[in-house]
Amino acid sequence: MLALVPRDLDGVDADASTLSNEELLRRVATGDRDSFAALYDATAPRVFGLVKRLLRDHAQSEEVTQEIYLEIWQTATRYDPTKGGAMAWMMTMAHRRAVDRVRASQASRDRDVRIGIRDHAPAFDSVTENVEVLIESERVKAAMLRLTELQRQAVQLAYFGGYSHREVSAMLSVPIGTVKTRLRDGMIRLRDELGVAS
Amino acid sequence: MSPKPSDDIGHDSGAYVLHALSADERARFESALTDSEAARAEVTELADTAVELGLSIAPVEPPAALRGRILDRLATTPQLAAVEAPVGGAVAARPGSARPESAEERARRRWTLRPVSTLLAAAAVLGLLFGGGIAVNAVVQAQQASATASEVSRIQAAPDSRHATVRVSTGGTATLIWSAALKRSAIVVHGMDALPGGKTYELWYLDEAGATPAGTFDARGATQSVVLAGAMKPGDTVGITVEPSGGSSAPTTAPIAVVATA
Repeated sequence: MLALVPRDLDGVDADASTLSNEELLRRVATGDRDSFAALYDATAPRVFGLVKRLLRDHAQSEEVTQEIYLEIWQTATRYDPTKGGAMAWMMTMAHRRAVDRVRASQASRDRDVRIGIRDHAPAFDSVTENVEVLIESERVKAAMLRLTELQRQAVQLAYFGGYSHREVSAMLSVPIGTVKTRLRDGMIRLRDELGVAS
Repeated sequence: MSPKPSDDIGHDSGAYVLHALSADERARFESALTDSEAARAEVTELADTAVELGLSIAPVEPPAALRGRILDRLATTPQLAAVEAPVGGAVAARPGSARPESAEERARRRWTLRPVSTLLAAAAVLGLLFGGGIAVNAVVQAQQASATASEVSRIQAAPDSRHATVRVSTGGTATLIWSAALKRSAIVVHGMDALPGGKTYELWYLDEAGATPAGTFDARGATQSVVLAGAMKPGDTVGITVEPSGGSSAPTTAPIAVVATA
């Protein structure tokens, strides 16, 4: 396997490490492995932190992170910088793949939710642990604290826990329609608090 | 012919960007998105907001060995070719226009067109598309005992029944049999590898609105027939991907086979 990899992959040149993620991704699309290594170094802690937050299991988090980066390598040609930043593109892909893994590997969790929230308390508590612990960014923390309690819990369980709206509904003991509405108005409130505009 | 976005679907945008919808709801929501510029703009902004949540999580340094493992795989991992994304509707009418795309148009391209263009381009890259049929009758007759086969026969017996065969990139062939009148299709796979535990083959109906899950199957035996779930629309393309067990709500890997019915 090692023979397949050029030796210079380990030593990323100084130029590459100063390039924007968008430019690195553009170069990755041409098959440039040095740029891929530089992009990995610049972004992997973010991606791994997100995946680990959802999956918790270390080995699975590594597997899914590998899948994500190979997908980035495969599909870099489809990245269009006019449609959004490179980090947003990668983080959206990462969240999606982590959620898919949660759903695939945790049929047992569905049963837990049906049985009742009490049996599920440990995971629930750690996901809804207070925003102070969960969120590093002061700006996002402040925005989250402006949501209603129900909005905040629903958004946290869905995004940071990878729970489906059905699971969130069972965990919070509110109807599915209410969960969907709170997810939407919660995200709209966050969008406005964070000043996100397309 | 997408359904009009109802208030019900309109409320799904938050769950959609948080990947909290079921596969069916996701497909329905994406279908409704093609009809609503306002919904597409909202989805783009809320998706960017979700990214902010992701970036608020404390970074975790992955193990050093992971980097090496990923870089080792690059040499044997093909990249998709850069292909101009096919564009539909009003966007296609002025491909050379100097007018910048509106946020709504960007959202539409970003959220509804990528899956199809990705799959079709991947098929072109892999050289999967080729003409010619196989002895579909013989294949189907071998399966007569099963209920699936009788449904396959029904599709095959329809006056407007057609079929097409493609190579599967990981080995074997896939023959799609379809009837636009019945709005049904079935796929007969031959010689496909059994997947390792935790993985399944997933079928997709693809149109300009995106990819709709059409069922999963595991390769068992030399030849196998699978009737696709859901209704086929004229011009739909059918794709096969490898997904985690239970299937995904949207393709997460490059397709191993793609059959166009147009």
